[in-house]
Amino acid sequence: MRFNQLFCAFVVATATAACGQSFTAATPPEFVEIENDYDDFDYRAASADGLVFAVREIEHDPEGSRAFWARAIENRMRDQGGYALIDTKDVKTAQGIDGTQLRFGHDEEGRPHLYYVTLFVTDDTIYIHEAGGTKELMEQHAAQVDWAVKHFWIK
Amino acid sequence: MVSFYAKYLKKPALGRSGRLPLVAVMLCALLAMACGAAGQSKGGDYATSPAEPGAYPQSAGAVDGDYDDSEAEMMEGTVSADYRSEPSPAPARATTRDIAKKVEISGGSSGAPPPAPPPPPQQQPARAKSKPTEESPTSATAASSTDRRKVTPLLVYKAHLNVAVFETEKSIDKVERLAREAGGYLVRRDDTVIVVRIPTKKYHDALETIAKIGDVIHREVSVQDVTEQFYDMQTRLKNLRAVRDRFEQLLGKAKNVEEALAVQRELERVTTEMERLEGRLKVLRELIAFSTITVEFAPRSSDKIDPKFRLPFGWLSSLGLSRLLEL
Repeated sequence: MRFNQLFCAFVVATATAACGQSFTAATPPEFVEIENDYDDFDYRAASADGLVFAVREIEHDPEGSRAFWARAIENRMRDQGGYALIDTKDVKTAQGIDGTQLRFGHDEEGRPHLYYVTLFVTDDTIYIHEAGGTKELMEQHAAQVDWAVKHFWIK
Repeated sequence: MVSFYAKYLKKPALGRSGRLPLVAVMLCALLAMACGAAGQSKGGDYATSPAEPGAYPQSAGAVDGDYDDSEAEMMEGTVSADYRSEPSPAPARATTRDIAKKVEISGGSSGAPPPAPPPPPQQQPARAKSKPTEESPTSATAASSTDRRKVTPLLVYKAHLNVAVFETEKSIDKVERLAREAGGYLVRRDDTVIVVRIPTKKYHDALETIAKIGDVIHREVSVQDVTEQFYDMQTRLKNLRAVRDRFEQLLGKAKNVEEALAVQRELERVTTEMERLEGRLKVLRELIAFSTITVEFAPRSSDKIDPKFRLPFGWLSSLGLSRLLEL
């Protein structure tokens, strides 16, 4: 049953992504893809209780290494956003693409939130995969977050 | 003070009543005090005699303000209210300020007004009532003014850490617990800032441990060498004690009420100044023995998250009795 759900979600995500994007985002079960009303995002999905995924596709110009962009994101979030860098992980998608995941924490009105930014870099494009929500939700949906990153697909 | 005696000497009744020897003795005592202070000090400003004409009117007002700033800089977070508000007797005010000026010169720069005094730590020994000259701060227990060059420098450590805002309350709890376990104490705590004081011996270890509690974005560590300041104050206190003893002797020899009152006034002034110096020494000793660590959980610019999560479906927003019952 669970496998079927995951498979269906994957198929739906694949089908809906056929509109000019150079990637296919995997939308886990219990999440719905949201029409992109925001210029910043090329893909967004949310759970009913407030955990959100997003993908940004950015032209890789000027060129920099994945380590460079990871550091740039880290500095931006820590120094200007006040986010705590909790962990940095190397990830690999099912497709075999290497990425870097930065895990940040941030309090808002006394509630701890988690924000994961996963970075994939190709010659032409930088892909930023984001996942965020309250710490409680992120921990509750940890498997789905990992699954979404694992099944991120670059065409 | 010298102007006070000059005024006193000019009184016609002085010579007639035969008080000149007494006043001469008092003058000698004062000169001895001035010489002692000048001899112990290193800087040229220290040696400036308070009796120099024109010195008081120019410096008194300015020094008063500088003095407060100096105190604030030196005694951040620990200065006692009694000490700060202690009034000086009017006749001796200029002299008191002059002493304050000397301390300020060795003390350094101006600073922000100090916050409210912290509650005294339970772990601290009862230093408050002991004689300042009989005890010394941590690293220079047996040191005296004569061998100050041999002693370990007396340093005041302060650290300020900006930590990313994540699980703030939990992290603040950890910092407070760490301070208490290290023998320190809490100075101030609110939603985003905690200030603790930790025994200087454990300062570096504590700082490293605190840095691991959260993600430190910015760290500022300062060290102030107060060795000279500390021993200068001790020397001044010693000299004031000698002067007080002489005044007490003179008080016993006073021949009439007028003389007794004059000596009494000076005695009060010297005593007040001694108490002031003792208070400052106590605070300085405290600052040396305990290092201050401030941990601030605050971003330089905030990234606001709307606490109410809203799915971007218009029809969801239209649900509810208010719409349903709207006819």
